[in-house]
Amino acid sequence: MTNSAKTLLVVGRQATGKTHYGVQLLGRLRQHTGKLTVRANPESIAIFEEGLRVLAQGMPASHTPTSVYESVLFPLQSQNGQPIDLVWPDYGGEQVSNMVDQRRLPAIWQQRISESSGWLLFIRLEHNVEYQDAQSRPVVLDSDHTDTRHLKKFQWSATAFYCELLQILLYTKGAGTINRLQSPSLVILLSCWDEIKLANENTMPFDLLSQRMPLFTEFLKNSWVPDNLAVFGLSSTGKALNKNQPDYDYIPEDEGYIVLPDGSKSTDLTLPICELIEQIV
Amino acid sequence: MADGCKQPNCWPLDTGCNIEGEADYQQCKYWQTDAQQEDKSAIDQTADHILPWHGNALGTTDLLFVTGRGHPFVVGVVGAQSAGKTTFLSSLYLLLNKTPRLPSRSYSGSYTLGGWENIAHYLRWDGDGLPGFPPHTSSGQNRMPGLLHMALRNHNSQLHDVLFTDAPGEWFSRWAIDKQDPSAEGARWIERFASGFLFFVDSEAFASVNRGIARNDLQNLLHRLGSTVSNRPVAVIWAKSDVVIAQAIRKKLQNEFQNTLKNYKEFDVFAAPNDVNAENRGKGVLDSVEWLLSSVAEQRYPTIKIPRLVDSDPFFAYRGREA
Repeated sequence: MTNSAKTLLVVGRQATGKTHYGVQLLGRLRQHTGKLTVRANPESIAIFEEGLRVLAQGMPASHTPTSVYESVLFPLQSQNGQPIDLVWPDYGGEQVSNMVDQRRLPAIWQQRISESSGWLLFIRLEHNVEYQDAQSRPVVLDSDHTDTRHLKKFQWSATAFYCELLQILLYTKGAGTINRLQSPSLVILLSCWDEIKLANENTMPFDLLSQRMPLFTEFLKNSWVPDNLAVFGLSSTGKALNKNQPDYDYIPEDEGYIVLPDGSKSTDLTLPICELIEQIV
Repeated sequence: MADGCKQPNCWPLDTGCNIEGEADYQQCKYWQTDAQQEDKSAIDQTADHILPWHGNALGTTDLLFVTGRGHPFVVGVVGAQSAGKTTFLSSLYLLLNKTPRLPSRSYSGSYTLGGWENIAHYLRWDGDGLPGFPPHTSSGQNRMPGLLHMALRNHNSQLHDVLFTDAPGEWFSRWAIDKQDPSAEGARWIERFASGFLFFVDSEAFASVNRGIARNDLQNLLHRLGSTVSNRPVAVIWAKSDVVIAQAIRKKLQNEFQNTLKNYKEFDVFAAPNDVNAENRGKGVLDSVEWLLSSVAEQRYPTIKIPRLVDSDPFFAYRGREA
């Protein structure tokens, strides 16, 4: 590794699109069309072998097994020629869910979190757990009616989950929030953007996040300085792919887009990584 | 590993049985004696780091985690049984989920998200499940109230930790009668540490045939609180205010507040009105918390006014003995 090696922490629950983005990122880097390019071919791309193969046939990558954590080293260079080594991991997203559910961090995750200088968080809004409540969807409540569901297990709302996840990461990193944070930088990717039904095509990702998860967004605004926080939209594959119906005309390098913080679209999938690197270098 | 419980996120000695809701935590299926616990720790040899907060209501064991970074505001939530204390806290969390701001401060995290989610879930639709009111907070054998935490950042970017007590009404009933009652230890904890109070008046009880008893109980509690509150702010919450009570009774109670409390303000609150189209539902919840926190902040941080010296030479900015 060069001296400027930076480790980014890639955080996402299961089925939030980490693998698809990793595979597409590799494709874009090899094309040399983006703002970030590779200096040399990665030593091993074994973790993406399967993903590259199925995507080339227009099929979605399969779920990464829960216990897997592997990484690939991308020797990158930025537009001004600065060398940066990026360690890109691929893992089963249950490891992230378990941190919140089981309230324990495996030693290896503690190390990854402490060594990281920038975080990339995947949120797939359409898979969020959301509830309607007696305030937003009125119901006539009888004052004698106390709830009997209280022993039933329920899932936390996505807002609570993501607040807690970031609090756990911050605690492990040793980053206090008495003052707003500059480090570690945070980039949020709202993944599978193509499946979100938008009222306005030019919606800015940060505004969408504020509408869908107001409490979580307030937590972000109160915990990070604005310069070290960015929200992008991401559609790694450009459209939903179907395992049972391969799209033989699908060319992965031509598909996929990023929604920039200002709401405009770009096909350069390396831009969120650029943003994160610029913030931490 | 929690003391006495096999579940990692339950602390029965502090806050009662969190998992099964048993009134007597020793009856819970996850309860274990000291001897059983030793066996378990001998097997458990992982290098996993267990988080220092469990996400449920805070107790003595993990309170230090929050108090470490500054003196927290403790909001004592005081009222008779089923006056609507827990429902108020549920509504507060749900309202903040939609509009995460009070006029002077906004949400900046919480170390009891599990606790908030637990009480708020009763007012939510879950699949086919209709919302209902949270069940009665069990009194158990606890030493102190469960505390729900919220960090709020004000306009000056200062971060304050606020702790809301979620305690059973029985504690206050006992405390109102006998200040030293052994079962009122939790109420004494609140009396001692609270920076401000939310005092609940159950409108429904005052509209019912039991209004005589309700008034008697309220007077007892009010005078107990009045004797210890000194200048700490008290937000008087007319809970279930969609239930109409006789004007004469209301007036009578208002006079009592005036005679007993020094620093107080009244708020009408209803969480789930019969009139489903009522627009101002939940309004009193945010208003009362805003007023209380602002009053507490004023008291604890009085603004020190220093006369401004206007001079281009920094040397003259020295205020000497007068400052």
